[in-house]
Amino acid sequence: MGAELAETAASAAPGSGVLLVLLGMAAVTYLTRAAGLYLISRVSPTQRVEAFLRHVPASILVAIVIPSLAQGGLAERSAAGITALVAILTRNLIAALIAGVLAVVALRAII
Amino acid sequence: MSRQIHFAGQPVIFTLSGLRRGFQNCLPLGLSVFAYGLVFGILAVQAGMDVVQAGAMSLTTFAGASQLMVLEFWGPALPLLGIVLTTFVVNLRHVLMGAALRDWLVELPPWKAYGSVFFMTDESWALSVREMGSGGRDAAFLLGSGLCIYLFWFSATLMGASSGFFLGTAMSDPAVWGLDFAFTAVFISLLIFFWKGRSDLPVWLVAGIFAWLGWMVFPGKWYILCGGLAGGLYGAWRHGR
Repeated sequence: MGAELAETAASAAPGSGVLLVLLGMAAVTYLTRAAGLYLISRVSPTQRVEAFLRHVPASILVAIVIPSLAQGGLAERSAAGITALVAILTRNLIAALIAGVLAVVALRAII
Repeated sequence: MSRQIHFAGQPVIFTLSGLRRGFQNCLPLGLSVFAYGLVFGILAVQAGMDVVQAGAMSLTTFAGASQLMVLEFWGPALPLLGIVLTTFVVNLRHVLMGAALRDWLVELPPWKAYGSVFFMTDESWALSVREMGSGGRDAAFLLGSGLCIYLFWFSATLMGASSGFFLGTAMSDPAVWGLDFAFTAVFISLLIFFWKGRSDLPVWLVAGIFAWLGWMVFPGKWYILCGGLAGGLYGAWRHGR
């Protein structure tokens, strides 16, 4: 009986641990999502802040693609070039996406 | 330079059609997110989670990179502090992303703004900031594109975690289908659409160099924050000169 209870307690502990972990992860993640909005709605933006915010989006996009280009081989880099070319020519996101994915599949098969 | 007037002097709106537009524009990205959700589900079960736990994490945390990273910690004894801190650090880039959507979000009633950012991901943010930058004034676009990602991420988590599910094993490696490159392709295309002129180049170079340094030096997603901050700060500094 005692052993059974101890066993139940032992198996219950990870469960409550999981709940705490899930709640903690959700809380800090929402905190990061809400913080930018909270901070920026509380400062009256100067021209400098405006300039900062204007340059953030493209800078983040540049940053996001850096690892896949740095890490990628010839196939990935060529596919990136093809994607950019199709994006410039068509100004169409879906067309560039499809071209990029097809290019990377084809180039990986060849190279 | 004076403040750019977005939306042609029109107030920001929040409509069902904007929500639908965001959802639809995000659908191609939803497919890639689905592939990664399957991977997360499969790995989560291998790490010792059950379907309910994996699904609950995708519903409440809803941030793929941090969820995958946390699996490294998963085991019989869960280091709460380590997991929560890692999640926080991996997701810090959201702070900058939320701030960048200022022109939409500060115009909304707080409950709509704070509700919408719950669903903000790299992908839906990128489409939204593009929509906002090209003069779109319907801020529900952010919520719509976010909901699209949410739906795909959650359902894929469940499918991946339901072990033995055919699609799960067939698509356990997104690279086979080129889907790992889909995100890169989308972000490259959006970047092309952001190009306004040669004066962008130095900012992009600074962002790229710092992102690369951040990627070399730090684990996780710090490189996004490094590049975003460096490019933004350089742009602001240049403006003030």
